[in-house]
Amino acid sequence: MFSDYPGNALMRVSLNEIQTLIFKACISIGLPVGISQDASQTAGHVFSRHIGSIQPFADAIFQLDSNSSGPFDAPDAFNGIFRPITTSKALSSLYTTPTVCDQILVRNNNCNSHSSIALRNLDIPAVMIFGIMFITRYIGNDVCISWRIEQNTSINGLCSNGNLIFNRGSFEELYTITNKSVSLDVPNYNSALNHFNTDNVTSSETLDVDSSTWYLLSEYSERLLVPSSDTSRMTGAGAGTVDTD
Amino acid sequence: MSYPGNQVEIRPSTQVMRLEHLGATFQTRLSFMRRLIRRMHSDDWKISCDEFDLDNDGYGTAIYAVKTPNNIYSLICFSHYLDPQNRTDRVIAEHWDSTFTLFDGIPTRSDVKRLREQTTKQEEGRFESTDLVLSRANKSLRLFDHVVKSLARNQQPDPKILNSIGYLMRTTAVYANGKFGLADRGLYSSRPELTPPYQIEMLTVYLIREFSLDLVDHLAKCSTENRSAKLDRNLKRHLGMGNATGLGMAPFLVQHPILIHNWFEAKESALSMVRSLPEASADKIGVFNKLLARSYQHLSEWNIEDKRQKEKIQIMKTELSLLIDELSHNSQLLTILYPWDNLYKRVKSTWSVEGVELLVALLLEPYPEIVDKLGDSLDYQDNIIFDPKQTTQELLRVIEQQYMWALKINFDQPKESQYFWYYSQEKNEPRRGNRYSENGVENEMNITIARDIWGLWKTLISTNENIPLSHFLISHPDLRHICRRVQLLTGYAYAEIQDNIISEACKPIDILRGKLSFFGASKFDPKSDLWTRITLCQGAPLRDELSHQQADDWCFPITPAMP
Repeated sequence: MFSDYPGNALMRVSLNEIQTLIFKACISIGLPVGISQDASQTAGHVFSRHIGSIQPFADAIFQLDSNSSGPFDAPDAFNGIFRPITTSKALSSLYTTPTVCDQILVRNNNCNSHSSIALRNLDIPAVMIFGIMFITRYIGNDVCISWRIEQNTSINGLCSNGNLIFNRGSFEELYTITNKSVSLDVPNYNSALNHFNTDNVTSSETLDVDSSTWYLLSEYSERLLVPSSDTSRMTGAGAGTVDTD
Repeated sequence: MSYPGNQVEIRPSTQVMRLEHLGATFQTRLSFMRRLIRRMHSDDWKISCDEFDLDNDGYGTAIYAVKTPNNIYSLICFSHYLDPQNRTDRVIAEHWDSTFTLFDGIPTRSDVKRLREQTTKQEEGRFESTDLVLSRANKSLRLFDHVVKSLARNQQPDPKILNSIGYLMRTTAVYANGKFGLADRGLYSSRPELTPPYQIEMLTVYLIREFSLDLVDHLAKCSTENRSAKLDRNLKRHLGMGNATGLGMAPFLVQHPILIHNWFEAKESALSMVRSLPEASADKIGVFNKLLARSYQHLSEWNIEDKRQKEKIQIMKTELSLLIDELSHNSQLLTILYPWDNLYKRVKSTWSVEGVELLVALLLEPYPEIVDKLGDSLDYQDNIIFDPKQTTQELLRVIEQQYMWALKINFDQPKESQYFWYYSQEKNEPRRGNRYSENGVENEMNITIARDIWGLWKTLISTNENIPLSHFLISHPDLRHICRRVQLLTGYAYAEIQDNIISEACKPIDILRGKLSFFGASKFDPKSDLWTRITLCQGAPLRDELSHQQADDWCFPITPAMP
């Protein structure tokens, strides 16, 4: 995990930098573009509310890149059960979160009942919960998605209106939990998806992140950079410029 | 008096959003620099040079303060010696004549000290949320030296030389919105003066222009112990800011589709409203005729080396000349019913694309009361979520209604995928490579909209199901981004460049021009298919002229007549 790396100095970064870095780092490890976009949006949401840390995202990227996590088994996913394709790997939260969020959003059907979503051996539960927190700001109407982390933990809470509320546990505890099963209780609801008012979202002036984690994520994003070649130098923009005119 | 209905439809995106069309656009009243100068005038902004601590060689620090009704901004300028061996406009440069930060408020000594250390490093520096924009500029040596030497001899520079270049300095990058730790746009976008797009960047460019004008006066004065002339005010006004722009700007248009839709829809709506006017008053006709003549002169003074653009300018001159001649012989031409619509239709079928777009810019000028308010809707912040309840058949219908342009491209032909776009290791900047002969294609940037639409459409057709996207994407996670794009852009007709930007036929410079025109750029000076030089705010009022009545009358600038 990234948290094992030495150095914990804080550095100030912008929201734009966080979103760009998470997106590129996800792309660099082979995640599809749409899923990388979702991770980036979620990171933007949690950071703009001063409640996030890039550590869970970095850990989830590391898990996928090191082949410790992988995608979900598709047939079970149709039934709201998300388990890793192979038992030797954990379930990737980065890969799975968008699909889980889709399933929450399609339960908007005005039936007066609840349903559950089960996630088995989820690598970094915090990433999943951040993703759910993000989409609840669009659902509105005070719809609450309850979540519970299982297997010898007592952390549970709910997401509603873009916020995360702990019934038991704290952010610090949540960040340390890995490879656990998570259950979600999703009410059916009936409301149009909000186009929320961005005026209510305040960007933060100071977003501090752990510098060692930041630089390690940067190394991932730098995998996307293409070195110059003779051809690119000869044909690229600006080639042949007279700079003394 | 009543008139037969003649609500002119806005021009379709199938015409407006083609690369050929984007590459022919001009600045208009809606352009961001025009809008900034209008606000400076209407809100009575005061700009002062609060510090000008430069030595006899022009090296040191200068600070310009901008007082708006509610906020103060400061441009902090650092002027340095630049070894001729390090002089390059390319983004890969590591040294520049001058570097700049636009600061939010009035900087303290320690702010200036910090920024001197960071600003001069540009992309290698780190910035705070008080720092809004980072930029740098190089002198145009030909003109800069000529101007300083002339002034030092107590003479004014040759207006012809001055016009042939049009600026003393050119910026090679203007960064904002969170880059390198700068303030995120969300921090200041609710301030009325900064809500429209790119106002903070345009303000920076305007202030750098002021610095460049003060710098030549200072150097001339230093070289001759106060016996020098000051640059004539009319000549100063005719000097804008140069800019060298390459591929870095192109992916932006693809990555901000709703913003782009807003820009182009506003412009097309404005044109439609003007063309729908049943008559034109003598005053409006007078404004049009004045600008028509001025734009002809402007074309005559648009001197560049690029052969293709030169030919286009020549054609436009012929077209404008014929129109000027016709209007002088036929005064009825603009006094008939629906004069502007008739004029537009008359030229549309016979003029070049660029000539028509020049006319469009001219048609909007006499009508600030119609056009300017449309500029209020140009901004957009992404606040829509993907709706996974939409079905595959619904999505298919949107594709077939809105993306026929993409479906007509045959991606089985290698030439349609000739190029790939990527981020270069040098400065992390977008570049374009040949897919079949260069390395790096595995890191292709995600801006291949036409190809992705084509792939999604083929998949949807072949699966032949009608299921919610939530189900479809479980089996096709790699199509998530393009499903989302189609869904979110439904109804945003002007959101997409309706051409294949990885095709052999694509000229990125057309994309650049489409965006730069909205900035307010003029005198496009293409250096290849990949990059161009331009001039910004040429003709714009100087900082002590912002309160003048005619502060907005500076488009299509021409060389001032000198006594």
